[in-house]
Amino acid sequence: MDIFRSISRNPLGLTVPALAILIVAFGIPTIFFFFASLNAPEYSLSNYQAFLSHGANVRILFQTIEISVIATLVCLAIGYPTAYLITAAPKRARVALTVLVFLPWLTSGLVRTYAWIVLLGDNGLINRTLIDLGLISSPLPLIYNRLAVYIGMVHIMLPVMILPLLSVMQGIDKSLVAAARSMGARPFTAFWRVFMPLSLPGVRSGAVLVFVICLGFYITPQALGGLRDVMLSTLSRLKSRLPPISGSLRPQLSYCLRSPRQYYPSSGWICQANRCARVNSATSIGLDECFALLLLQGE
Amino acid sequence: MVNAHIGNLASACADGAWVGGSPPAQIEFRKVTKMYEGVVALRDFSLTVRQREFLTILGPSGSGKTTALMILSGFEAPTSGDIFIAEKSVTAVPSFRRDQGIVFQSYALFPHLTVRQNLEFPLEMRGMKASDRLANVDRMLERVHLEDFGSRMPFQLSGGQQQRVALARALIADSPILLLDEPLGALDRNLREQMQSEIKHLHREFGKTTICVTHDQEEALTLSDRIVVMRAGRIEQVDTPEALYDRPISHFVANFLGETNIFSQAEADTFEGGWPAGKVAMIRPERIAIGSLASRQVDAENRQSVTGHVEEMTYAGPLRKYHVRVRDLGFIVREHVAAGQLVFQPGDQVQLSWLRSDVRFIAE
Repeated sequence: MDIFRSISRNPLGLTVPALAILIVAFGIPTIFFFFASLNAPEYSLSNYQAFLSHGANVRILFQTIEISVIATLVCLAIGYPTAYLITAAPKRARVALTVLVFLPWLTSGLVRTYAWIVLLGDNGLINRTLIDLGLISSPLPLIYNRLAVYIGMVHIMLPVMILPLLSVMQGIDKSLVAAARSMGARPFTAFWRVFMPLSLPGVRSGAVLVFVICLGFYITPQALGGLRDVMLSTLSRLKSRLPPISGSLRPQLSYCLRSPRQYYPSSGWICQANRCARVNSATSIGLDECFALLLLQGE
Repeated sequence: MVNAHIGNLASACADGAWVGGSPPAQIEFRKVTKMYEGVVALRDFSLTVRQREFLTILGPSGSGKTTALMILSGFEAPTSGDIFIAEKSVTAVPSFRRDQGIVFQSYALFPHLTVRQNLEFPLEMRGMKASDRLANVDRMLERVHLEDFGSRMPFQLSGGQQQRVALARALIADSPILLLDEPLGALDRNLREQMQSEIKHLHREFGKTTICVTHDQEEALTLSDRIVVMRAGRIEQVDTPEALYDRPISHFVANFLGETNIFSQAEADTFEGGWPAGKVAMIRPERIAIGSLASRQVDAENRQSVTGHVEEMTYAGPLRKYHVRVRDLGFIVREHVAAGQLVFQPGDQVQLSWLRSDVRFIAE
């Protein structure tokens, strides 16, 4: 009893179970893997040198970061006004809107990605409709390009952006904006000087979460993108038949980008890998994000 | 120490700023009605607040007092009716052009700005130069005795200090109107009394037309020139604190402002003389004298007495409170504790007496 009491009094003590699971299931394998990447065939940085010496690999590395940054910015541009609208809405509408935002999470990311193929494909809903209406004669290039990757990624990641924004925005005292206006601030000034700075913690959490998860995207760029839109996880999958190189690639991903999806080489892994991706990213970011992640897992 | 200092400052520029006659109306509500989804929050609210007046809107929650303030400050639009400030209609003027200083119930200090930046905000919004802002903020910080706190964040201040920053911020832009929304609700008792006198001094010093919204009758009685008592979206009575306390027009007002004895005609024939139809008799507990049967006073032209026995005696510092049963009626009597006074215990026979003129007949 005393042990329980002293643990519960210490907030750090409460994280022990989660920490233990992470270390055993994640930390230790990651460390082993890192040493394996150095130790193949003998201890040296040769695998890393081999990776970086290929211009294509470096380009894919930067492309992965670029795609993730842009997807994050688009999520922010769409998510911030949405979260603001939900916060400002009357109570009943707020609940309904929040449910609408999170409803897509009931469907797996894989299904949602393939749904976009149905919508964007050359014979998909959009092109078919436009052709049938006589507006275009040949299909628009909607799929298998960068745009389709962004559409798919933003669609999947939007709730992850909105959730932390919502939780922060709803905690902002409404009388603060009213006070600013009573002091002569126009509506936009009141927003810009008072509401926006106070919502920044939510922006930070949401952006970090979305960015980190985007880095490890595999299925969406693979399914919706063209041949050029390769991200690191796709690359590691492609090279996984060549153990030495991919060995250096994997820890690199894991340490630089914190994405573990490539640990699961067979194809029945997506759900599991997704979960791990989130848990893993949680270790590298703040408590806010962890909390948001837990909520997401509970959706 | 602090209060004495304020007192000196205040008396230097106190009162007497307007002489003779009634000053022009500064704020006027004309038949303002506000409905929320079919529910009436405020009905036909008409009120004139004079220049430099300190007016308190007093009422229980849901009586419409906050709605009136929200409409005046422009955060809510009235369903019908008009608001005039300095004889100009402001009904369609947005809140940021109304030029009012508001102290919010939660203080609404910007948590991401320092005390100094909080005070600068209204000046900046009015386009004041940075150097002028600096001087103004310094002066105001000194005025509210927070010179050393300019670089603190609001959460590093105590409740009383936050309250002073909120007041300073509402006053610094020199708006002609000051609105206070439950300004002392969040403070403990001692601090509340201190802030009451500070608000009073600030009001005298700055001479703003002030409207204060509260449900605290003590706050209303101490601070106000006039009090508006609200009930279910309507004005029940408007008068000076003294008149409201002594001559309430209804059971509701009498009860809301302090403790009172109220009897209906059916309950009591104690109060002889003409009993107006449909009214109840009211007498304040401190207007009743309590004495032993031995020292019995004879009924006189202007004085009336009854006998009963003490049921309960409560000692509360400067006051002693008795519950006295006279036949079927329970009286509350309050007496200031004084030397050589007879103290009655439960069971003692006593005589209660009062001036006939102290009995008020008021609407039920």
